[in-house]
Amino acid sequence: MIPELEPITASEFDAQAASHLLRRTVIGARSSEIRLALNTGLEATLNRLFTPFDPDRSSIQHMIGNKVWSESRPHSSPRWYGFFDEKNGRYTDLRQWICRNIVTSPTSLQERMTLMWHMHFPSSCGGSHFAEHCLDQNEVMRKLCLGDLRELVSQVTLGQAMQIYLDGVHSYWNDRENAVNENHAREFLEIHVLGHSSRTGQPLCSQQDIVSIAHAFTGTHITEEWSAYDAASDDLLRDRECSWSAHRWDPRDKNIMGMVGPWKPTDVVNILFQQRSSDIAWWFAKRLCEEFIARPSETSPHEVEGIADLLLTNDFDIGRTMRTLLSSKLFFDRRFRLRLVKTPMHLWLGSLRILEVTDIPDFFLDSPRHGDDLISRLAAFGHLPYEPPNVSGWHRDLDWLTPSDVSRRIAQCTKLAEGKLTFKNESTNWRVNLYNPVQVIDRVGGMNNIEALSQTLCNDVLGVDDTDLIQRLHSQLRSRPMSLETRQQQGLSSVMSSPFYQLF
Amino acid sequence: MKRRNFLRSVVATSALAALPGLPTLARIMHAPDAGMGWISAPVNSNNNILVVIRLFGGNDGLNTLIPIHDDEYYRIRRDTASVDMSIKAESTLPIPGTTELAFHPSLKPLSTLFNENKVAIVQGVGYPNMDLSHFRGTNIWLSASDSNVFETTGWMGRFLELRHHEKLESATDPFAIEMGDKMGRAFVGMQTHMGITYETNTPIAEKVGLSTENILGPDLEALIHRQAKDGKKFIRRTDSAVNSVPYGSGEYYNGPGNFGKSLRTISRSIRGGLTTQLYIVHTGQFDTHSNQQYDHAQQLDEMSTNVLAFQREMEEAGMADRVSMLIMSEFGRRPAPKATGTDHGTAAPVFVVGSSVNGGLYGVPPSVHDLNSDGNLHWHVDFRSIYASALEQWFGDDPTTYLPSVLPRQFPTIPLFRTPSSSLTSAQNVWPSPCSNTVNISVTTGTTGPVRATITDMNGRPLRVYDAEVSGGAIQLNVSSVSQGMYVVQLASGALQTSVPIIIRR
Repeated sequence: MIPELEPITASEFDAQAASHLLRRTVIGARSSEIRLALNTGLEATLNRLFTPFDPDRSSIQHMIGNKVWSESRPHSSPRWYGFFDEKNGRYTDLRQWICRNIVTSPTSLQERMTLMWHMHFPSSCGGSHFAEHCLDQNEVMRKLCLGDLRELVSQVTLGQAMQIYLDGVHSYWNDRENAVNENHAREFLEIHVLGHSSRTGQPLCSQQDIVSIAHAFTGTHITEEWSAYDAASDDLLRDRECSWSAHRWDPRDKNIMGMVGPWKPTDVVNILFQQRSSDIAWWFAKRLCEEFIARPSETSPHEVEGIADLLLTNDFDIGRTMRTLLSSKLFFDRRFRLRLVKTPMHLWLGSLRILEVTDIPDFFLDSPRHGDDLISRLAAFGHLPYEPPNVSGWHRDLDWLTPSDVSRRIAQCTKLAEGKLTFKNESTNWRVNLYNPVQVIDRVGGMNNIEALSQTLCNDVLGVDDTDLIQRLHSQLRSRPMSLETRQQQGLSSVMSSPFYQLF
Repeated sequence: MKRRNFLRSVVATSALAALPGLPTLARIMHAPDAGMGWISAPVNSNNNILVVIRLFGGNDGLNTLIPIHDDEYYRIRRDTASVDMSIKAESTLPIPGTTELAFHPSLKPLSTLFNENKVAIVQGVGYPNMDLSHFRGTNIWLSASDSNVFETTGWMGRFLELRHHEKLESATDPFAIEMGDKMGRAFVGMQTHMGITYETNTPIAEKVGLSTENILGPDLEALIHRQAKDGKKFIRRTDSAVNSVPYGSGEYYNGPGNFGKSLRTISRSIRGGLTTQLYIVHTGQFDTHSNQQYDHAQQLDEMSTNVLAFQREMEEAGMADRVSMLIMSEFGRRPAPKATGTDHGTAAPVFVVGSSVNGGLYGVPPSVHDLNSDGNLHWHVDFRSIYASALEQWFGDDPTTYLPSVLPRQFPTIPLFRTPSSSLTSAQNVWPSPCSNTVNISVTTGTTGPVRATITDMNGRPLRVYDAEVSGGAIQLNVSSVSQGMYVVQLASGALQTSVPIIIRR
């Protein structure tokens, strides 16, 4: 193991280190969590972070069971539109559930990792896709986010959501017809597991590799079973599921990375991890590095190589690798603190979590599916779960900082801090204020003492322990007479509209 | 050479790198595996506008321009008795000047413009070792890089940065606009983002909160400050331009992807006086793996209807001479169909549309008789030839300026645009460099004096003003009273402007 991955000492785990650890691993780390981490030490904090949690599934109960439904009625029927309303509504249900899990999660790495894997393996709701398939995929990511990377890759790659998103279900081969679609194989190789080029800039796969894997991937299709007839509503329902059929699969030998055989979809991931383990480890090491350490231009190939070796040593166990990484000198290196850009989901949902906006879950649950809610706001920022802009996924890091985006982000953060962000419930025409800023200040560490307030806001909300900055906020808050409420609100507004708040 | 290393190596001589207050994106962004070099060079300027229309998903060129007399096309597109992906000759629209090719029946509006000599069609466009991934293909097209280079910036972003580097602080109008709410690579420059995303009613930051530059170092914090400031300024200005004019009379096709709405907004911003020179708008689901016959027809219909509507609005506004459209896709599609669709392929046509376009067919159509080992068409024209043509003929730039920072090397140009360069300089030369007491700057042949030359420091503060006479295609300035250092000379003659960096050393 390279020296940079050696653990820090207990004494090095100071307030700033605790803040950094929580900020990088929890979307919207709270003041109370940072303080607890400092008080209990690194090991205990990591234990908490690596503890999985089971989110409340009551809002998605109607989607569980791997059955999705369609309707056979003609397009002209009003019921047809009802079907689409329901289908689209379920996307919203899924997205709200994902968002709510982030906002309400305990101190756990699970949500951060699940979101990371979703952004690494993007797939989409919409079109002929069903929210239920995406829910299944999200559950896989949730379950395996810190598990065996091979298993995660395998289950996501061969799962229904990805098969549909990358046209795998339209790819088949038989003696009469060649309908092999290369989309899935190409993105699997070039985006999901290998990348475009090796450490030395050499191409990692050829068109022939893509074709071979595309043929091995054939055979998956959507089955439709007539399963119910609802006489009351005159709806004929059917279930849609993906399954694999030998008669749609190309049984001929394929040469995949030098191994020749009549490979099936399930063989592909195993062959890849067997034949190209070093390249795969390097690809995922880069991903972990840019997600948790620093942007590629700020880390060295030596450090990425160290993480790749760690993945190999741990036999692609993500949890063990992450535990070492999050204890390491590399992770806590001061050069890398507060240098990554929050994604819109991180910014928004993290803000709600920091502010402990506990009424949001109820609002989600009671909200009709077409309200002016958080989901539509996330969509406006181009970061809606299960709606990637393209097959390679969403922006990363500095890509989010375009002039228009920065301006919008800061404008919305300011509104949020000032309690002026309202949500409209279209069915009742209510306008709902998101939270009471004074109550939030109380939760963040509410206090009448301006000095303590300044310090708390800088340390815990921004993650900046800088005397000048604290002093500047302190001066700002005492510059003119104002009520306690106004002072608290202005303090929160100052920190949340700060450039630092865009970073973590 | 890594971009950041290259930048470090040229920082001492690059006028751009020395600009104060410039967000140093290059220092903090991901460095490409191999990148474009950076040169400090003079740039021309005109006010021409290019609207780039990206057909997302890979447009099927063979079913866009149909080889109606080629039996092999009909054979290969008829995969099985039940699958026929060909377009019947009798349904196509003729293309004047050729009997071999015809337009897809959905391209009636484009055909109308072609008949008016306002559409240039470049056939068989591609590049060496084409990548058939949407993501990579798009990245290559937007970055203008070779397929083995992983560039994180866009050729348009680099071009704008080169052209406007001295105006980064002072510009009132956005340099480029990407329609929608998601910014791609197109306008990412070496140093900063050169574009904004735009939709009507975009919220803007009124202030930036608590800050100090001594914590993170100036780079990230300054970047965020600057972007917030620019975003506020540019969005307000764009809102103002868009809202200052009514909707035009163009009959747009409002499909699900808002393409028509976006083009309509672009039309309003141009008619409203925005000086933005580059727009990009994305449309479609041209990724027709299945249900191609119906979907492709729909997509082409939407595209060409909106292009015609936009062109007509520009004509009515009297602005059509300086607005062109470039319509491109990341790749074509494979000749042999698969089930009800086609897989990703290679060569495809690119369209350039506008009143200043030299209409007609360019290049040769890719042949279905001559496929590569993967069953794909051979390309004949590198897509960067079209970019080079636009840079030189439309924006009045010169290879000595845009190479190698905008395009990686020189590509042959195609006479796609009628408008000659309206810039002040064409063969930009500054000599001697560094200079001592006098400096000579060449200007476009035909420019008559006097040329107003203003030497400014790197903060844009004017130091000396000259009214120089053109002699032998150049002006000469006496700089003996100017201290050693790096400066920018701003040249103006009538409506033409350009700027040139100079170094004085004694």
